[in-house]
Amino acid sequence: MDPENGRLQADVLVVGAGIAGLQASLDLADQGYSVALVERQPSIGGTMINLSKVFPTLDCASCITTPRMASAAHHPNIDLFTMTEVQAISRTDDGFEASLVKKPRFIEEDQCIGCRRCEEACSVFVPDEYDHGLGARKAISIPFTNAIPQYPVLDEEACMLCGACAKACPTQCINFVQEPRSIAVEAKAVIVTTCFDLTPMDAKKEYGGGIYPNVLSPLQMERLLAPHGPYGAVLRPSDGKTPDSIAYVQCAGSRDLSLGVPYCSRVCCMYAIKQAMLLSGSLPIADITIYYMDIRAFGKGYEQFYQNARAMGINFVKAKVARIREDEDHNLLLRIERQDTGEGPEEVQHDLVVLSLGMVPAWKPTPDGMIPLQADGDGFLRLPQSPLWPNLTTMDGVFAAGVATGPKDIVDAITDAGAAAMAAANYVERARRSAPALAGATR
Amino acid sequence: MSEDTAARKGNYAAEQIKAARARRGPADPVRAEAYKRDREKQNAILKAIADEARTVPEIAEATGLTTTEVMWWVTALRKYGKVQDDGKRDDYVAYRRK
Repeated sequence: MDPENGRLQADVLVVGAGIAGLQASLDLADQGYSVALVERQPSIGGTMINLSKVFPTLDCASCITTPRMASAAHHPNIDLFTMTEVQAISRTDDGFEASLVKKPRFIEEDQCIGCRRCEEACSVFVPDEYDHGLGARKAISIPFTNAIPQYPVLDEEACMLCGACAKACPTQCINFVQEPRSIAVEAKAVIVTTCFDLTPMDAKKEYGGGIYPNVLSPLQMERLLAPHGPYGAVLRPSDGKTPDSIAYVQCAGSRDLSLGVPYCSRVCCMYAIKQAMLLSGSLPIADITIYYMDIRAFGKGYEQFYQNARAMGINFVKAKVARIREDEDHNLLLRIERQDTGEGPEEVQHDLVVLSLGMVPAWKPTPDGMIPLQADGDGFLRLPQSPLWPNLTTMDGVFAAGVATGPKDIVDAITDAGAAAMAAANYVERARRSAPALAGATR
Repeated sequence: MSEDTAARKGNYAAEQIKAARARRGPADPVRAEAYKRDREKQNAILKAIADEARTVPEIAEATGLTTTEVMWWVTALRKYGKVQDDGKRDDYVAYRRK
């Protein structure tokens, strides 16, 4: 990259540095292609670095993700841009040109040594996004322990301008007046691996999500189950009580026309079963109940995983949850209607409830958005030649992988990313053959 | 730290703050008030567990804060090394000032 004029040439631009973006970037970089990897968050790793363990192997999610994060960050063929957003990607005679904006961290990255003294000195606490609000961070903080890169971000909205961070910094790298920086990337191909969001906690008002402190999202439960989670144990956010009874409400954001999410999010059954198994390990005497419509255990080893959970004593109740109320002790009262027994509605009490929310695209293409791709009715990217060519988008030279194209589990996202990398590599080679003057320009 | 180094760092911090205030304008009184209240909550919790370990409901009773608020602040202070776990009492973890 030419730091003077903020321009970079790369073979492939990869948008999004979650597990799919990391895998696609590494597959390309290991073959000798140059990659510009762009991530809007302060750290790479996506949602996966936030998880406790993965199904169905119960391997540590961080142990799988962190080596890929480190490899991508240190790979000589990958230029990494964090806190950077893609403003526009347009076609040129040679491929694509992307205009990026790097948002300010308010520190000089080339001087910061990641010592965290600024974070220790800061006295302003705000809810920590990484722990989904269950824990706190400081107004200046490194996002999480194994974040890459290990640079803090100053939250301009929360900062009180007391100057404690600047006084504590041994390298004088705090820069309160840092401005956004424009970067231009020329690339021959693009891979879009944008992330997903969960449906909002309060989308179904009858469940009390976002109002009752003990109604959690699945990602909040992931943090409670993580060894370095906010409480150091599974406790109730309302009062720190160790829960005796935990319930999962399945399809609390999917297969629901009223939310505009008629499709199955594919991963909710399996992550609920995984979390239930982990909870039964952390809280051996707790009752864990999963209220479901039907269990979709579709992948390799998933049905066995489900049967193992049943054998461990997880209660699977085929029932629809109509509403959730809270009593004066923050216990949750679920009004359910069983579908297996045919009995009338009943009310059951649980200490903690997890809503299995649906997956929706975090980025939807619009005609005047960053790149004029087309989406399907569900908002995920359209794949006109799927399933034969599952990574080709509606634009020649632009490929997609991971949850940008639809809900996927980690195994499928990684496989998909490998396929996208191969398709992009083929495209770059074809472009080189048709334009011999460019051959070997960056490889 | 030598006096010279301290003075240099002090100047750097002062210059940074001056530049930031020039850019952002006057301090937001609403934010300043919220910060003050947060400091009061932290101090009240730390005082309540200075001499004996207490659970979240016990801290809430001693400070007048809600149990949900206490849980969040105990979590925050624990993360930054001001509070430590001190065993369990029935279904609750007890916390002590570090």
